[in-house]
Amino acid sequence: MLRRICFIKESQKYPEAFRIQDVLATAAALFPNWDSAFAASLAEDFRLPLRRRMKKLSRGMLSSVGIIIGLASRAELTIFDEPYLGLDAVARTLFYDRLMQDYTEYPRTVILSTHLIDEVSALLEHVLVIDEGKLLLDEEADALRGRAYSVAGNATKVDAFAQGRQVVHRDTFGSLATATFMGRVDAEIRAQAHSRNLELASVSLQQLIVHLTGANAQRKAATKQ
Amino acid sequence: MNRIAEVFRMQLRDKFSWLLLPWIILGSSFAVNLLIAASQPDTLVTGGLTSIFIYYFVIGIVVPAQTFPFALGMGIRRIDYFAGTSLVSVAIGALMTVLLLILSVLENSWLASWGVGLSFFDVPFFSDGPIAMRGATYLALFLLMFFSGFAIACVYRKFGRAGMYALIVLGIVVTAFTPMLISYYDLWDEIGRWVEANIHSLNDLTPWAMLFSALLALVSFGLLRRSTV
Repeated sequence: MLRRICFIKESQKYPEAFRIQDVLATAAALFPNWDSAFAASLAEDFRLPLRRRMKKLSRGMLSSVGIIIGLASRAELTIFDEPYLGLDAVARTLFYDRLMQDYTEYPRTVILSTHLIDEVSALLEHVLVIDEGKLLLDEEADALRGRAYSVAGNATKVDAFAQGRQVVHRDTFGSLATATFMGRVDAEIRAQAHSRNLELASVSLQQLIVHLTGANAQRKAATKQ
Repeated sequence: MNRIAEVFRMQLRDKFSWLLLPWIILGSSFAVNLLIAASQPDTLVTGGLTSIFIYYFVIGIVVPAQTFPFALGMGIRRIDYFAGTSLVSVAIGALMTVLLLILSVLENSWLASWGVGLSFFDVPFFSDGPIAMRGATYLALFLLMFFSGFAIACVYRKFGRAGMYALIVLGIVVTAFTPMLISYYDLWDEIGRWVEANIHSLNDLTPWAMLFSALLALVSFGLLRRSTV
């Protein structure tokens, strides 16, 4: 059972005396679907010195080793728990790209826990949001993307639009305002926004989650008072 | 079984710690003793051989810290980790035993005490009796050392720093009170007579070493089974 699962966590420890190639060889022997060629190409992409000992690796390199194990293991269930501590944006993008590429060729279940929601939002199929141990959200990513919208434009016009609607978030910038609403964009909303000369935009997953958890925190504060 | 073999192979990827370092340590002890023996006319009987056994205690402490979290992270079960690692300790212990016996036979025969009257590999009390008996004794001692270290490391894995403190306090209490109690009940004479009658060489302690190794192994596994990483 365990060999069908690969769990890569941010704090994974490695034997200090092992070289990267020792770690990869161990993983290769343990995961039945391991793809050595893929692991080698990933190591090259992440520019890992295969002969260097784990003790001497930087934080980012350690994360890269974990990512390589997670991807090359091709385990039926792969769990990445914050896998990219110390990795720069280029390396993270490389991770997302390779993950998507390999996933399309070898479909499997990948669970990715992260704080960088915007970066991964394009990859996600299903989203769970956990806030202080409570499950806040459990939904298909596509359904979620349409769950909120925002309008931007002249502040008074935005306020007029907001009449009778629940505003989850409001930003002002001079005479301009942006307001975020829950719900789907339908023809009526589109027409109203258009007639008021307001710009209609979708809300990113990250913003949506910020609003959701923010609202939750406020509620909690209120109940405490 | 396959998984146990994988743990075995994983441990031995660190060839330096298992195969080289013990001989570097023993070798440096030997070099020093050889110099001393050569610089004076008398024959020299030394206890330098103990260094390799002490190293095996150290490796018992080091191994879980280095490989246990990694092995679990790679989806290895605790029981397979324990079995594979124990097998490595037996295999390397046996290998070292054989090499030490060969060296002791050589030292006693055509190496002629290295030409300087040095008894390093063949020492009284340590190397008595038939060769098979000595082999069993060395192996039992290696395992006792390894599992003593391993058990300590497992206490740390399970109970962390608090466990170490408790173990140290326990150690102090036992070493302080045992002689006190022996004195109180006036048992020193009796113990002395028993040792004189029963313990003539290290071989006489071999059954005890085996028993304690097995106990420590059991304790280690019990702790490891419940420890998290």
